[in-house]
Amino acid sequence: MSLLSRRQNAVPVAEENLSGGRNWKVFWLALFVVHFTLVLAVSLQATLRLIARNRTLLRASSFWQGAESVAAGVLAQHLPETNPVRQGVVTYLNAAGIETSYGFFAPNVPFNYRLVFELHYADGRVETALPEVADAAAGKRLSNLFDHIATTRNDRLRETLIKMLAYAVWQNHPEVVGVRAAFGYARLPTLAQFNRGEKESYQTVYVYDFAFAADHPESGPEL
Amino acid sequence: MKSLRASLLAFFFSPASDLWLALLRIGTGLELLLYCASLRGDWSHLFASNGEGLISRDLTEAVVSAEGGLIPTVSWLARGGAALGLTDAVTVTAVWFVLVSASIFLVLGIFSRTSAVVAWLFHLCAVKSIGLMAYGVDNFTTTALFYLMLAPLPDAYSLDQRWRKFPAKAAYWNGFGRRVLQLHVCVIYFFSGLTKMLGAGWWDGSNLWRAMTRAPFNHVPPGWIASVSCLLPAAGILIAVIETTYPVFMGWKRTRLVWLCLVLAMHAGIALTMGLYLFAFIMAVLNLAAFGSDLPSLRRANPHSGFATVAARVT
Repeated sequence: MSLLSRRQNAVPVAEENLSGGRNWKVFWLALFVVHFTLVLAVSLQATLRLIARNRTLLRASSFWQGAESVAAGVLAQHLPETNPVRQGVVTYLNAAGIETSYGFFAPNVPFNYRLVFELHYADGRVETALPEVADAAAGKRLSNLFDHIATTRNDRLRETLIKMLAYAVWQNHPEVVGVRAAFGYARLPTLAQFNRGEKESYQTVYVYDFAFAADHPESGPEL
Repeated sequence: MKSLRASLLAFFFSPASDLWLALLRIGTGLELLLYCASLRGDWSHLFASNGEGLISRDLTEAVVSAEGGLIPTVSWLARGGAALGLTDAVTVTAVWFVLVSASIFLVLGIFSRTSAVVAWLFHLCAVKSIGLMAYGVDNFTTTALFYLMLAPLPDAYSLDQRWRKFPAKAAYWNGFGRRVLQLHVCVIYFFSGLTKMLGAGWWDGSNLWRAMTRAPFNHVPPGWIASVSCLLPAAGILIAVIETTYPVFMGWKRTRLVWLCLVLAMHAGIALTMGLYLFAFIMAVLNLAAFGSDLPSLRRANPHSGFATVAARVT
């Protein structure tokens, strides 16, 4: 006799009466339909958006845009951002971990973004530094942060994020008088280029200069 | 109409053992423990506020609350801590200890329901407060904890049942919970595979090359990958096919074991070649909980009683 069947014999089983149980089943089934519709809508919307924006092998057309709009409608995205229904849907999606789609490294692998700091000392020395974390797990998360920095359309948010990262580095080097942050992406060689001996190159996209003062603790990033 | 309703109820509420739930509980508890361990050295740095830390969490939380004002964050917990006289830094540390405790309780199956709710809430707060640094593993862990919180706990393997003699739930609730998880996992793989198929780079192997040579996932020397480059197109297509056809071949009992092994091998490969250990682990947990719990009985089971057959009957 298996462990499972021994346990099931040993403990009482909480059975609902038949009619009550059936009502509960219908109730939970209805909740599942709502939940699953949202899961499908999020995934469909993300896939249709990729097609509509011509990022896939399929040709973009108004059909895909219309279909994406329908999926967005299911997710209440046509309502104003402050609408309680939209807020409720967003909250539920986040609570269930279903607010993002499942296209990992698809349809294509994103650019490899990087952030490099030049630390300028009062005596003219210049050193380079990278954002500092203690563990590899946090290092992997930085990669996602860089994707956000690269893709946000909000210039102020981008600058604030980079300034915060620069400030975190500066705190470990308080004698530094200026930090230049260069954000860009690594142009990785293709397989054929690699076989020809080509190396990766770095393309700078944004450059920011920051100055932090040790005697002015308020000089950190403003939120 | 009555027959459709009966078929639907039969499809969703067919009795099942609670082995799937034990796998989900223990696996998700371990995942959460590994999550806490992996971020232990950076925890205070990641969740610091008021302009401190790597990215002050106030900024991330502002972005999250612009999306939805009711999404919980660590600042919610910090406000609760402040009411008890705790500083922000102490609350942030306490969140880590609560998560570790909840994950240990989940693994052991003590106060299973309470532990699942606490783990889900605190993990959600943590994930949303570093939302700009979150990735797939966080969403899958949230989803696993969300289902666990609503699942018919405690299961027969938990200490709640063994020591505290909590009654087991009716078998059809286990069937429902497992079916929901199965359908969700099918959607995950189908869309993951479909979007890969829509990208040219998955057909010629160039996306695999880029994924494995891209920092911080470049755990394998590129020279070694280049030496087996003839396999890359086939591997890329195989991954996309395994994922897209997942609902079909996992739904059919005859192919379930083979497909489960293929998927687990794929995730083991991702863990070893790209260093995504936590991601591979949570995917293995979700797969085993959804489809692995009835494998020991597969040989004896009627091959025509699988989920594909029941689904066909419903439609």
